[in-house]
Amino acid sequence: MDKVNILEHKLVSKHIILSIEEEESFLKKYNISRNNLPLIKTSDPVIKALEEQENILLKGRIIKIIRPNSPAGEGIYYRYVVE
Amino acid sequence: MNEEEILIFGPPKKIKEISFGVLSPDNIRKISVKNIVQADTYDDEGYPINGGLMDPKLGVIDPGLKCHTCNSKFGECQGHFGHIELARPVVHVGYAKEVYDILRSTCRECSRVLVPEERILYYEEKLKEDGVRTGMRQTIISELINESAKKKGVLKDNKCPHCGTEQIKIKFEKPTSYKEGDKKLTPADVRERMENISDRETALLGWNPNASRPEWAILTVLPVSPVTVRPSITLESGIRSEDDLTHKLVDIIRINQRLRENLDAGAPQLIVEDLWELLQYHVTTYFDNEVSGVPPARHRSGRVLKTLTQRLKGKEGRFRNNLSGKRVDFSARTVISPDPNISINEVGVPKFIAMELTIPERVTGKNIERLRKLVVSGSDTYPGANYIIRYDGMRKRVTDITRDILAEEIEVGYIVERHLLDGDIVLFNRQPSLHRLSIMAHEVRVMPYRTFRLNLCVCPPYNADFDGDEMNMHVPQTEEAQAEARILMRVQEQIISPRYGEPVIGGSQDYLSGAYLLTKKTTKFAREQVDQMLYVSSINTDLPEPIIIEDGVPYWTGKQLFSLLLPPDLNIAYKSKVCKKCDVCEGKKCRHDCYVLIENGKLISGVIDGSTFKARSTCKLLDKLVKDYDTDVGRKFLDSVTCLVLWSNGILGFSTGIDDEDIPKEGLDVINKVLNEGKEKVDKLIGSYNEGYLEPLPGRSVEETLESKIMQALAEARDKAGSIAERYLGMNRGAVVMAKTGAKGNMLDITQMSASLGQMSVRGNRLHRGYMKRSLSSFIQDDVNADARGFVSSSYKKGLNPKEFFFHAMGGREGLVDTAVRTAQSGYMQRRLMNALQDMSVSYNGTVCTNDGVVAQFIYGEDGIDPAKSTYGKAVDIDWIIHKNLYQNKEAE
Amino acid sequence: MASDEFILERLDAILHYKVSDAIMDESKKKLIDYNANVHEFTEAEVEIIANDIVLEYDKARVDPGEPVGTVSAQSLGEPGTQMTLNTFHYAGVAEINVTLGLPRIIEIVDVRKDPSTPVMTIALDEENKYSRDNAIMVARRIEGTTVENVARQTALDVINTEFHVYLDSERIEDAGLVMEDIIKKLKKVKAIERIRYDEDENTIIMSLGDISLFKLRRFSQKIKILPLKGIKGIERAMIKKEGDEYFVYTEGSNFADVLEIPGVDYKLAMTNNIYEIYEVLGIEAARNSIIEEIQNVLDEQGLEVDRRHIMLLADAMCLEGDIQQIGRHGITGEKASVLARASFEVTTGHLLEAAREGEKDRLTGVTENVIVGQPIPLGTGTVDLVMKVIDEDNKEA
Repeated sequence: MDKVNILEHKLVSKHIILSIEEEESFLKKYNISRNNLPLIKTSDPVIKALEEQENILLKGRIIKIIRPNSPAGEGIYYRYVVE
Repeated sequence: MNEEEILIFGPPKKIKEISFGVLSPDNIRKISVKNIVQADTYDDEGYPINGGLMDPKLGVIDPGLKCHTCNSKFGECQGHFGHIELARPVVHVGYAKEVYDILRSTCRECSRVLVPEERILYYEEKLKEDGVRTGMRQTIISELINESAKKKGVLKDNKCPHCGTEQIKIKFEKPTSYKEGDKKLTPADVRERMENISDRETALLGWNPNASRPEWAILTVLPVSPVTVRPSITLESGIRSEDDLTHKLVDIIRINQRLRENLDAGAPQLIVEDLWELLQYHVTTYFDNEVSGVPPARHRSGRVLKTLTQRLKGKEGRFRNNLSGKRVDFSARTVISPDPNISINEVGVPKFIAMELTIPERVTGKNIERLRKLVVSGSDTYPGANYIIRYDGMRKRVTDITRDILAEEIEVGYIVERHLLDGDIVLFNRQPSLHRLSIMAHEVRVMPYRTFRLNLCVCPPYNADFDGDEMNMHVPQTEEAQAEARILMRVQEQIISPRYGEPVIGGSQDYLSGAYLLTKKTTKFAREQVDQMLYVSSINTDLPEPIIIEDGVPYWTGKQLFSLLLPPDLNIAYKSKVCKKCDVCEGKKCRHDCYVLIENGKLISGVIDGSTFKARSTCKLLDKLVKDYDTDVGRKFLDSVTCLVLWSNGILGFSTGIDDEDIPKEGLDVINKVLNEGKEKVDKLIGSYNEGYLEPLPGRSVEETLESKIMQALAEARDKAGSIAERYLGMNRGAVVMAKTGAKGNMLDITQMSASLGQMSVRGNRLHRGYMKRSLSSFIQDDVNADARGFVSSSYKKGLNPKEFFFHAMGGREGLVDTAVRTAQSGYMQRRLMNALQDMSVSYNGTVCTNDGVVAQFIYGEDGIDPAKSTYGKAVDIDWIIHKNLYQNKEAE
Repeated sequence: MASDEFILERLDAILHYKVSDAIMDESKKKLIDYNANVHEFTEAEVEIIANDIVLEYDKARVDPGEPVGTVSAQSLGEPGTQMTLNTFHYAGVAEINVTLGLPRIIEIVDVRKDPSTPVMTIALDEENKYSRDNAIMVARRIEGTTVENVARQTALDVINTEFHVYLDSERIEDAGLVMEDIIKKLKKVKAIERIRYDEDENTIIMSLGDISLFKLRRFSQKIKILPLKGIKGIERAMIKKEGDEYFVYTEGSNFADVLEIPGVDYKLAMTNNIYEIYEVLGIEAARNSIIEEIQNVLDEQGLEVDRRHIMLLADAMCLEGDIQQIGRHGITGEKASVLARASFEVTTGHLLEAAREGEKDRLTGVTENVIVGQPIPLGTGTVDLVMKVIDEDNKEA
């Protein structure tokens, strides 16, 4: 029995950490500031799992989410990590 | 705002921001025009008493008088505040809890927050950082309050970290008194403590120093609202009746005066305290007469007074009744009735209404003659005009006497308020306005009599019928509003529902069964009939060649006539609703004529029915017309097809009757046999249960298993009976045509009429309650047989026996109760959804934002497609595009 | 004739970045299918069709300013009037009832932490999903077993104040328990003075010392429902075959614990308790689950609502990183506008708070602008019209 890795659960969409450069170009593309983004908490299980996996702190970073089952095929979403 | 006003006052001002704050005593005195000292209102002669609650300086409520402060007339003066100097301070009920929070979190000596300096800095930082967006502000503030309040009574170390004073636990006695240990804190004491808190620390406690100070929550001066807010009414008998607020203010002043007199006279502490308490009570109920723990103040008659909070609160309060929803002019309401001969875009407006509601039209060189004529005809003849407005905004009523003079007077630049004319755009609405299709723009068609007339195709979006429904009409007044209504809200623009992308406007009932009869293979019409039909449905094309010629007389088929409604380049194929769902579809050679094939705008095969243009269902044709051609094409199709079908219905005739449910004797025998077999099966199940053989289903008791097995057996029996009945029910019966074409009802309803009703149920279970352990007293207890638990084997046609009738009524009652409860529940849910989501809209960069600029979606629906423009939820109907292009290509070749 | 390669190449070139992936994929599939089975396209036809797809896609786009929030709310609220109330329906297995219809929708938008009928659908891992016996074993691990479940019979010995539990070895085995476990569990119960196991009779005898008959009765009831094993909160677990796989369905939900059970495919385990999903799998999973749950209810009622409306609702609820309720304590309660909050619920409370905090209402929302009598900032209200003032001299013309 392998250890439970929630990132692999069917309901959990793919979460990708944007690099700092990507963050800048993303914010520029939409012409918005971080404070106007949807949020995700550092206490969120997915963030915790990502932090453990990548061994970095994610507070203040932007996460790109790829959602399946979308009318568009794949939906793209972004969330800003806050406490 | 009209042009002249703009010239005088400049362009309309926009309110950018509204700031909220607590009035300070100084401010209250500053805005006050009078110190109110008299508890009385009017003297014996009926004049307002100077210094009383109805002081003429507070504004005017009697027509003819002038305001003593601003010298304006009644209706112009908004009123002015006065004030009452309270002899002793009292607590503002609304802030009683906040005052308690401050008392328990600040030092009794130095009035500082009871946490060390570094914690203060920590909280300041936190408020700056997180309080911005996450709505965490209040949480952080209460965290600080709780941390500091621990010093009082909870922690052993109860010394102030700043001055070292020992703290005593504060108790809050609802609604408005505080105790420190055993000593009562008077509002004066409380106020004194709060005055000493620094601005920096009040900010931490949730009091923005720029707008409010905590000590202002302890009132020393009470503002007296202007009389315009609490007008007194003169009854027919000449007796003045004062507003509830005035009554309350009278009480306050009276007690305030007594308290002051007693204080001046040096009355004993006990009496002063009693009066002080009483003053607190009156001020409390003045603000809110529903505070728990305070007996509500009553009128002499015993009626509970409506004070400030009650005026604002709830559905009938100021906010929801007067601010979020307003009464409007230029509106009408009357009963609706159907008119199949007007367009779906139109609404029939009674002449009486058209003469009352007006549209302002500016006089120009082009319309002056027309408008002049309207003015000449006056306001009592239709079409006419009711008012003219001069350049300077002066309004003149058009009367019988003045109409000729006014007609002479008008010139370019005047505005004429003329009666509604055919073609004017109006908004039409039916409550409950659950979705945006509940308000649509129609073109006026003035008609005699007293009801609004509407086309039957627009009933589904309004959910209207004609059993006495009333609807509202509003007349947009400005050109901008009229243009917007016409372009965005016109009925033909709303044919496709934004909910799912299917048509909500379309045929129903007779239109569908009639279309079936019209396009049936056997239907043919002679020249005379064809001419009539085309005339009523306003089709102005050349007649096609007749297909059938019998004895030298030409006949046209219904399919030919229907084809005349279609655009000539339309190519489409689909299965009609009456399709028998054969294993192998034979396409256009379908024996039942169920394969609809339209080639180059000609209906080649197939009957037209529900799947072509039924409202609120997946239509194959109507939505193509609307989306691929134009909303105009769709509207014209609906307008014509309904007229055509109605007329053909008149020729062909269509009816239903009890013989539609006739089933020959052998059929009835089989049905009875099947039902009896079902009942026997139930008996067997009960038998095996009684003998203990019945195996329980996993996770269920034996009784539950028996119940579910019985239900299964009976449902099976009824279904079998139904399908046997269906075998005898052919398309020659009106009721079956209605069910199969989607006009009304379904096959289940018909088999209930002809074969058996089946199981009656309440809450998804068989009927079992009523008497102890039985449904009716004529059964033995614990009888679980089919008949004893509400199985009705009779059909509607055969008739129900008394027991069956009663069971049927039980099931019916549940349905009624359900509907009543559901409307209330779903109404509240809709209100909440509306309030939560209403501020979200699509921005120019494609994102969906809330009004605070927070992005909720980066592309709307992740693909940027509007469901109202989609094909049943999909952005593009690829099959259709391939189909369409191939046929066009063929033609080119 | 157009080859498949040509079709793919042209579609890629023409549709790229102009339509969504879903449409791109569908176009490719359908065109190739059509080409092979119905009609062979010429190259020109492919070009025309591809361009037409792009055109139609653009025609179906949302307009800026479209009040999509309102449309969503209406599209979800209006069918509410058509939904049935109090429907209990069977989810997967006939034995389990779940709340559906309007009450369930209300439950979801209220973000209730304990839904009225929590159920789980648990997929099994490779090893167990094809075998009935293995599936039953997993179900046993999940389902709670009580003393009563393993007893043949129970009896009260009133004279000696003893409680006898006659065990059923078969049932014990079924539940995957061992004798020692049961006794161990029972020993933890404080009220029992002495425990004896009679091997001949296969009976556990508990002495309770000197207590009243009433207390003895009550105690026996308590012991009967003493949990011996299983997961807390799960009342029943049963298996059902779907296709050639077995699934475990449970009444009651404990998502976090079930994921850890051996034999369970944790990647596919599901619950209908959205708050549990939020706690265990995070906000995105919760958002997905909200959509699925609402869609389920609507499908079951036969009501069609575009998925985009449900998605907007779910995204609005999950905007702040946790699930916010639709209502006073959620989205509406935390609006920036004082007037919007005050006109929803608890009017005076919000006004008093606003005054204390010195709040400013910037009048950016719908309600606020209706209140002050200004055009709302949606749809045609997002743009202002600028008009040139007509020259006085030319006015007559």
